[in-house]
Amino acid sequence: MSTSRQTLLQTFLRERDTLLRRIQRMVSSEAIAEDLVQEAFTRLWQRELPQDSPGLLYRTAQNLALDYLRSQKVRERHQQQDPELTADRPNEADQQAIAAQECDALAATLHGLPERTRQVFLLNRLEGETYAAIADKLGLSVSTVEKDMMRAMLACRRCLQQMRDER
Amino acid sequence: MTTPNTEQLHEEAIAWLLRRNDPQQAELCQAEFDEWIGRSSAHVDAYLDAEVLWQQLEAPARQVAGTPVTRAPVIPLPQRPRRRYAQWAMAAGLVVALGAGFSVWRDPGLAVRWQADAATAPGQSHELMLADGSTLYLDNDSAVRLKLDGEKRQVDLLRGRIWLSVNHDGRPFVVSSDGAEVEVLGTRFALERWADQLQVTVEQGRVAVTAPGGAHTPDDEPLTASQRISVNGQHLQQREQVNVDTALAWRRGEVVFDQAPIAQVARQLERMTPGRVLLDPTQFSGQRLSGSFPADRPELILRALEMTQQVEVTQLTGSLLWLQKRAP
Repeated sequence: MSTSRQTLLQTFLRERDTLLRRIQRMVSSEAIAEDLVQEAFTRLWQRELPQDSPGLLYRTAQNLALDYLRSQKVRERHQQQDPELTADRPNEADQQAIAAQECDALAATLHGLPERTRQVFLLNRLEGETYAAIADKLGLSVSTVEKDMMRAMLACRRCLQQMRDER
Repeated sequence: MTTPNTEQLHEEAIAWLLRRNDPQQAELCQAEFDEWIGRSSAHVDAYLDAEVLWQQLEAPARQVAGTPVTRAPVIPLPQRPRRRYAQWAMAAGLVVALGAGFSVWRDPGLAVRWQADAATAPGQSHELMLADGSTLYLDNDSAVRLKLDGEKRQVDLLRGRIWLSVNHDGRPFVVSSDGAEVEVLGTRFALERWADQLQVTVEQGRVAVTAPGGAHTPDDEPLTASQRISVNGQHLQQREQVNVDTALAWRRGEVVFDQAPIAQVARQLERMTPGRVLLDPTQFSGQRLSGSFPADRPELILRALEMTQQVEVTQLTGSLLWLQKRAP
């Protein structure tokens, strides 16, 4: 057997229980954790990477777990949006009204930020500029850019939090 | 209401999201992030919430960027619900894709079966009478789409293998798979779709085979009884003579291997059982298995591998089988 597969297999058998526990903490289900760990192993096995390390196995399993949870989250939100799936929830018109309200409130929050913070946020969020590029462009330090981004995100989170608490 | 503790977690999550969004930091902090997110499902939840918030901020950010800073944003209301809806429709598409990608682990044919008119799971087979009186046999883990009411009767093989006995009714009968076409001229024949090739085997009568690029059966001679042709991509291989009893044994619920490489046996096993069968093909180069097995008894094939091929079968986990060469 090629040595990389041999190593991968040994890694898998050695690390499996630890890895399972870890993924299980993320997804809160033993069966799903088991599937994700196996999938991670199978993918690496089929790719036959020249170098492998426990880290790669962990990373792969963890990324799969995140993908899985993301899909669950989208599904949940979609079901909330879909009146046919959940008749007892607010109907679609209400949901859209809420989404519109949230969008307005978030826009207002962004507006209310100090100008520099807002500028930093928009450059990163809309233009995808890196912190270093933004720092350069606006004559700031990278750590100031970081703090501005954090400030903008937290303000938006608080805004949504408040709206949801009031509902 | 959220407790200060979860609020702290959400702040950390947002900080991680931002760090990972920045290409200059993403690589550097990977190991630390792995450690952080693996701590609990609450950490994961907080992180995914941060991702959702980031997504949700795109629309308001565009509004803000598009309006003069000194004026309050004026938003045309009627348009937004439509756009929102489109976003969710896309999100729903994403769910299907991810959901499929995930379940496919236990059952790789699942995604294909959703778009099929008739399909079987691993370990199942099914025979059905079509509307035109023809007979269709679906072997394990197979799927087809059917269109029989037009001027041309059409069957599309999406996965696995089928055997057909075509009834003459004056209309052409065409079977396609991945771009290749088989025109039936009144016959019994089979189509098998594998990862890298398509095989057409004729039991009785004649069929004309066209590869995806338009290449025809060699010399435009139709394929006749006891002949088989393989299509690899756009290429038609030479036709070969086969023993139909052996070649189409699966039609009778049997699995027959005739000097089959171990990797091929593993693929057949995956059709018969849920889960995966792993092996390192380089370990078994030159080894062949011959024999006849009932299609519903995969364990007999495993035993034959153990007894005659020095294969050690290990169940690594619930649905993961590992075939390795036994140490001498």
